[in-house]
Amino acid sequence: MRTTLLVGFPNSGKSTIFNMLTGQLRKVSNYSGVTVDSAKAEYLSNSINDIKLSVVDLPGIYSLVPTSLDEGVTTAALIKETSKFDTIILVIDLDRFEASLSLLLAIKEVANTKIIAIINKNDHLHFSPEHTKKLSTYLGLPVFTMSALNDDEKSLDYFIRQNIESNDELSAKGKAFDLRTIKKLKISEGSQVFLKNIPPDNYIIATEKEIIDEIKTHQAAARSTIQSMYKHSQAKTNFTQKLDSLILHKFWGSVIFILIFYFIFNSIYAWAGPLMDFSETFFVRLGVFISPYLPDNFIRSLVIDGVISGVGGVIIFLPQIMILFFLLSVLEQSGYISRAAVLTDKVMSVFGLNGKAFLPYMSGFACSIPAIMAARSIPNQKERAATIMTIPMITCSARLPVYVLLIGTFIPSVKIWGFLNSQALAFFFLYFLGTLFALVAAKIFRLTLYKGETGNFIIDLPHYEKPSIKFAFKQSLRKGSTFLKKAGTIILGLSILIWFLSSYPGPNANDLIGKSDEQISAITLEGSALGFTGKFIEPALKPMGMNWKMGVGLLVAFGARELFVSTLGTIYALGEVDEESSSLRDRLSSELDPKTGLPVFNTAVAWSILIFFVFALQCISTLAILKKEMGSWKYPAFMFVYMGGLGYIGATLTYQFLK
Amino acid sequence: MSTLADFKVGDILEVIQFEGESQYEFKFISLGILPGDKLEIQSKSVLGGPISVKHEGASFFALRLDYAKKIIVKNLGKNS
Repeated sequence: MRTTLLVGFPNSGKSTIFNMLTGQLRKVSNYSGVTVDSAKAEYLSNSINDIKLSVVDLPGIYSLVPTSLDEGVTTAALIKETSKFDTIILVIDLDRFEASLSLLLAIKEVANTKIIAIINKNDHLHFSPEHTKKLSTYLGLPVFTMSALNDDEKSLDYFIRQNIESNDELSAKGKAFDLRTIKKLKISEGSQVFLKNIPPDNYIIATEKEIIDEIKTHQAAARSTIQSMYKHSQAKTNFTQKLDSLILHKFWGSVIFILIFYFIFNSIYAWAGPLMDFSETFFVRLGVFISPYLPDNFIRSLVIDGVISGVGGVIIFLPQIMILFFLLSVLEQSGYISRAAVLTDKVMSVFGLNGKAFLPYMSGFACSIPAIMAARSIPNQKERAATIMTIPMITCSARLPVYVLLIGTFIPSVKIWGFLNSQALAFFFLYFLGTLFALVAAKIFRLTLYKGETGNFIIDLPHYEKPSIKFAFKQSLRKGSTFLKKAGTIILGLSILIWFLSSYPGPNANDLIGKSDEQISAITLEGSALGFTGKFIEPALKPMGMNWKMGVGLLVAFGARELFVSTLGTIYALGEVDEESSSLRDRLSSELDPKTGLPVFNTAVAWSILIFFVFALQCISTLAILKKEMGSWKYPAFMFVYMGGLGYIGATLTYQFLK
Repeated sequence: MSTLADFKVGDILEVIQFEGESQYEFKFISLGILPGDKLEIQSKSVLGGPISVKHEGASFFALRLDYAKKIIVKNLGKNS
């Protein structure tokens, strides 16, 4: 196995290239015993090629002089461990062309192995094949130009392999791969602590002035190279300048920001509505359609009640997710997202975060899973961790069915001040509460667990470009299929499990005589494993004002929040129930406590449940994606405990205060 | 001496040097902001949010006010 090494600026698209080459999502791994943000995997194309390759992705760097342990790992790999690597794949970010080219010039002087350059983010095809040829001649290195928008996996793979093969031919003839002279890297005394794993004879200690002069030399060389071959369009620069004077304006900037995101929210709810109704109807019809073909025993119930209603209940959120990502992709391509980061940076900085946390939080209103994935764009590990660990408190769309059911049933609809609706205000309050606590928790994490300076203080503002609708569709399909895969695996498994737990061990056959179908399903649940568990934990639910039935709902909702509604439906013996079903509402508000004769569900209980849902992490998929992104079970375990704790305390306080 | 943070929208400035610890100078220079470069202030936000600038007449970036205070500049006049 021969190894290639990916090097480049943070956010230069290294992870994207890693995913393209290996066909898998980049996962965090250990590198030479140090836990850093690194990853290693084999090339997807190994199965059809004789040369077997793997690729290592190390933390992004701005310069070879390390300013952190993470950067030190990358520098060490480039100056000492080059024998481990067949080829260095240097990623150049076209949005920060000059600075990343300067990094390449610096690496070329000190890294004693083959180097190929990949010009990334040529999304609008401004960098022509002519430019590529010129740059390659100037650098004396092979150059490949690409854009993640165009899915060039095959040509990228081919380019890398072709270079390795031609280098093999050269060395077989006894020729060197290029004629560079390798120098020792100069670093400052202060940077030495970040290179403690490698012997000091790998570098030279120099004064800060010498080092800065060296970086300046590279920057100047990069600048003159670019100016000699490549001109930014003046018209485009003027356009961007004009638009920015409005979009980043002290006052109008915020107005436009609010309008744009209001439009996005509105489209998610307005456009997704009919599609959600359609898919809901589809799953009901599907159940009715296939029911006669299934044997009338537990298999029919498993397929209809377990698989179709479980998975179907989740798939109805697919339109929301696809619309959100379509619109976000359009915004991102146009260049607006960086402006949104600038506009929100001040507020975010109060909570110890960075303007770049805005997009992940925003996506969190749809679903935590894509939001946690979107946090990859935050370069500072600690800020990223603080963002990721608080995203699930943002009100995601899975909480909506629960809110709709409880608010619609227990909050009377009255007008306040003549124009505000009490139910709408309750919704707003819950959304606000989740967001506020997410930000406050982030601040607490930044002061304790993830302490440290902000890593990112410069946000590049790319020129405005016309977005490609085709690519936005592709992005949205891609996110949609990731979501469907989740529904097809984790949620499918959970639905089957919940079905089993709520059906077995079955009740005594004598108890069922003369009962209606609805009553039978309620009795079955009471005698099931879930029913027992609900009764077992009832004492712990008392302080929150909940009984065992609600406890079962909460337990099931730990699989996925939206299951709370369908579980209450089963418990209250109504069969098919969705959040608009008024009969469930009637039944909820009319159930009386046999001992006291008072309603079991009252405003205090409803608010207690709502508050519990605001905070508690009831989503197995979030835990799974968190493990995947952060590389350890420590994170999901901690998140589950602190959010669960907040939910329990919050619900208890609410109930005790309101009862 | 005045810093980037002291000027208004439309002012054109020249980078003289960087203040504070050398790590700031490392960062700025690694990002391609060099002494002698021309900056034009594009926007400032309320409550001390980031300011955005045009760099060398071609590209744009925004930076937090704390960091703008590390860039010592000379006033070259105003964009008409």
